[in-house]
Amino acid sequence: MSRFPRQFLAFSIISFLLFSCQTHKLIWEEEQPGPGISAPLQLEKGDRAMYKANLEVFRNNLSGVFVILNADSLYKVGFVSEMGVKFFDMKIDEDGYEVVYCMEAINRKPLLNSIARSLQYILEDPGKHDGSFYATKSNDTIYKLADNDGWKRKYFVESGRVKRIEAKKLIRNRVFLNAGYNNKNQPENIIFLQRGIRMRIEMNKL
Amino acid sequence: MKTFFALLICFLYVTAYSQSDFRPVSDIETVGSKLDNMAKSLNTIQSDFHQEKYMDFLDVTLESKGKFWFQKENSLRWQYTEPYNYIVIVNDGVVQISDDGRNQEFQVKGNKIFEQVNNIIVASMSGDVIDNDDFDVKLFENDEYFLVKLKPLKKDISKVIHEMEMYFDKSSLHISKIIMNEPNNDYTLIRYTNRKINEPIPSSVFSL
Repeated sequence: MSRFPRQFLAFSIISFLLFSCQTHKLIWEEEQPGPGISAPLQLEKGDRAMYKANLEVFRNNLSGVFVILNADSLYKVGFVSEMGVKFFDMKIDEDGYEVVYCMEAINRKPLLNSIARSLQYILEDPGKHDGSFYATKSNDTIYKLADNDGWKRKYFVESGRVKRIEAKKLIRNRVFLNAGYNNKNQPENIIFLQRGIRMRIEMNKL
Repeated sequence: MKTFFALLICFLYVTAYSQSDFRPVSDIETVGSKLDNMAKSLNTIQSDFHQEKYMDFLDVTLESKGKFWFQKENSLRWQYTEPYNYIVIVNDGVVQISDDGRNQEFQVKGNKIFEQVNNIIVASMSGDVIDNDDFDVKLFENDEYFLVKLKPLKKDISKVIHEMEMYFDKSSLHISKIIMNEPNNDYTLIRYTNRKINEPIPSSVFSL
């Protein structure tokens, strides 16, 4: 093959790859008041949810059971190993969290912050936020809203259920949540990814 | 009829009272040597277990079930079958864990808490608990059980375990249940059933 057809072929392939796929730009529309979506994990007052969980952080691995209780004005969360050793107890509400007990080995503020924030995302009702924007893409409706503390969130909603949340504050500080429902009101499985501290929590409903 | 009910209530009261009416063992040396002899005669144990973890903060009890294998000197397989599949094997100082097919391995020696918990489980199953320098040991009895209460003397353990109660069946001297009380009113209760003593265990049981 002479040099010219080879260059032409390469140029054609690169042009095809670069320009043939038209980017799908989302058109954001403002919605007032907050979005028509509810928290991924819905618990009635006094109800509990239990998840078998695996937590990986900085190459350490903890496994056990997460128990989440709706205690009226706040949520109580406990994480205990399969053999009964407790890792932590904490209270979570919309303003933040309070650690009631934490095993010394994992008592690190960045880790507890990340766990609490991740849990807030599945427990908090995003419908309370005013001034959200939404757009549609394929089967998803994507809602975006901003928190007062600088976090920006996108909710990917399919058939009225949140299946993915992306949250970012700085470029590197991202939280992802994926939820699978299996035709029930509460997610059957949830995956949290926190890039900042390389945390991954995988939870499967018990 | 009234008398019948009165007698029934008396019977139930006495039964319930005798279950909890533990008194200090007067002849500690004799009971100690009985437990010690039993421990020496044990080579293997296989048992089912039922675990209850009470979490006071959440007012909830987590229940799980499984099977347990122990072989002298220090081989242990602790396998949960309900409500999840989770296996812990301790063999030659190495811990292997299988969590729903996800496997990991580490040395017991690198993990202080695990080392202590492992020692306690092995000691409790073999009855070798009286001569333990890491705990303040007290011995009680009622009609059914010998109760050994262990209070950790080491700070790192006492942060996790406030007190352990081990119930040994008086007739067989085998352990019947363990209660691990934690400092924050939580506890873990483990009951052992369907025990098989000194039956051979294939070596494959102690590896994943």
